[in-house]
Amino acid sequence: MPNTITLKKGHNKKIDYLPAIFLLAAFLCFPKGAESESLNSLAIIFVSIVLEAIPFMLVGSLVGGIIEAFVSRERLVTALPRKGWLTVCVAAGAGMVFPVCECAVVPVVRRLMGKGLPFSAAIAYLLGGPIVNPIVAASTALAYGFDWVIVGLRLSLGYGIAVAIGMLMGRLFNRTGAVKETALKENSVSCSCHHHLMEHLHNGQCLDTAPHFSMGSDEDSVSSACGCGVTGSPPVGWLNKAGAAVTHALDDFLAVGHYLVIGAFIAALAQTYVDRSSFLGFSGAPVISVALMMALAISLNLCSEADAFIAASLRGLMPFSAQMAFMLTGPMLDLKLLLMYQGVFHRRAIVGLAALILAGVFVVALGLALLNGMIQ
Amino acid sequence: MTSPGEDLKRLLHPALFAAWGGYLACLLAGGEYTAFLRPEFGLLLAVALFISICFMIAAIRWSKKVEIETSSILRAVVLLIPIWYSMATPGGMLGNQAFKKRFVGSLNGVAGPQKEYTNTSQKAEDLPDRPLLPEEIERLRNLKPRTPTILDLYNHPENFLRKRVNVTGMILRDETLKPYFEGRDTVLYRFLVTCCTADALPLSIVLESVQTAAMAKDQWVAVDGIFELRQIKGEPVPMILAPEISPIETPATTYLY
Repeated sequence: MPNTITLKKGHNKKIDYLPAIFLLAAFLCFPKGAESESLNSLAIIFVSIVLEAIPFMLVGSLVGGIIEAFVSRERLVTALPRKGWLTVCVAAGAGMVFPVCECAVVPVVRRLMGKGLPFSAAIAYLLGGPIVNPIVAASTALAYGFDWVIVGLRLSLGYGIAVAIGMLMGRLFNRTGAVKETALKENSVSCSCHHHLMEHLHNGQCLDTAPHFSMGSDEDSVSSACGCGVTGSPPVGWLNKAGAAVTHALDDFLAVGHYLVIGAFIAALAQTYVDRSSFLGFSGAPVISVALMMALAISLNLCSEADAFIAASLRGLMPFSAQMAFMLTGPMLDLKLLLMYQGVFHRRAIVGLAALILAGVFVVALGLALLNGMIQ
Repeated sequence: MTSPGEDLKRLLHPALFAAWGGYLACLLAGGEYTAFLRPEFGLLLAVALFISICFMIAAIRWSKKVEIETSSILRAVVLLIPIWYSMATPGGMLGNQAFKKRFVGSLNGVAGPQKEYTNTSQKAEDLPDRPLLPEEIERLRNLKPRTPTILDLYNHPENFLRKRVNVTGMILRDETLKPYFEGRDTVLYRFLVTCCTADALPLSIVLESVQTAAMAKDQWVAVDGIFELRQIKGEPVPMILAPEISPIETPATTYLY
């Protein structure tokens, strides 16, 4: 008889409303031919954001699955520096070696935390990875006419903010208070780790018909290395591990993918109905222009490769400090990311993270404005 | 024999990834993804297609018959919404509504070489300090026109200054443009896309002295005239003088990259 796993009722209750509200909104905003230009624009932008992001989300989920199946907890912990602050510093700059965009980083970080990556280092990689990487450096250079000072500023300021926030979050929250353990436990249930099955269902009775990832020839594999910290029998052979990796990746995508779609829809609404010139109308003091550009970055939902071109297009209209605020905020915090974080973190942690990002970028940007004013 | 409920449990996720795989395959086969993304992103969509197929196979092969709650079905439907929306916009493109929301002035987008022609720069002295006379315009109109894109005019204005050009784009006549262009209300525009239409920036060329009452909104046109950079409020504004406008078919590639 096939194994039936019952997820705990109620743990998804909070999420039910969000997809339902979105489906209602999507139905109401559905384009009706050529009658409404704004709804057509909304549809085009919405689909564009999803199509651009989904390959990265799928790749990120796959990378997360590979980490889950092929990287043991012991190996990861051994590879990390012993000193906590050093781990954070390394994690924030890891994007230079393992470049990742903001869509892909969420499932990857989810798996890394499951494998023992400290919470503070996970936050540092979450924030630093999408900025401190060679692809963003190249796109920023291209957008600003190969002004390497600007490129260096963006990468170094992004790195600094990621390290600072990673350390602060590590101080303010512990892992159990910040990370949704149910989100991580869903993964281990799906990988048929016997120990978690026992924990959830039968209080010690072992299910002898647990699904396994046999590819037909290897009957020794029983359960995958889910990173639950309990030593079970990991899949033997790379084929079984590959099967486990794909299944974990599938689960990751299903856990976070709908947030991507909902976030993209909200961003498309902002892009369709918000006048960009109205933002510029209020750009007076540096404080106001920085705040406006940060709000624009959050609502436009651009990828970290494209946002430099938008920022550069506002040269002459916005001070440099505001442009930098735009380029620092977007990859760390936007509407889509805010929703995707819900698949991983508790609400308190998300609020704390968002507040720290906004405060950090704001302070850095104002510092730049002051420095600029002193130089001139 | 399995019940419909059991079938739903087993087939929901495979069907989801099959739908995405089929959709991505159609977009790639027909090249229709360029309505949303720059052409080079086709490779990424191919990667996404491959992974979707892998996920579909994994979902079928290792279907666990997980007890599916309402939330799982809702999430799966949410993931199908972009496909549904995409089918509602066949051949759709951004138009004047998106232009008006994104337009912040003539230096929108490529604030590059033409910026060198601002009032305070050395190159501004290279700009003629008087407008072209009608006989000069007439003489220039007898020359063979060049066919740059709007992006070419933005990137290399010096190559086309006071020369006859034939440029294609969409036409827009709107009162809200007047404050930017000293009372002129008609522009020829196209969108410049970096990654996807979410970052599309409108590039516009002002049309001087135009009778466009007969043109439909977002009509694609070819404009034949003399290219000029005119100083307006200290900024160099690209302009076409004495434009002759003729409607054309919508081109295969509507965006600039």
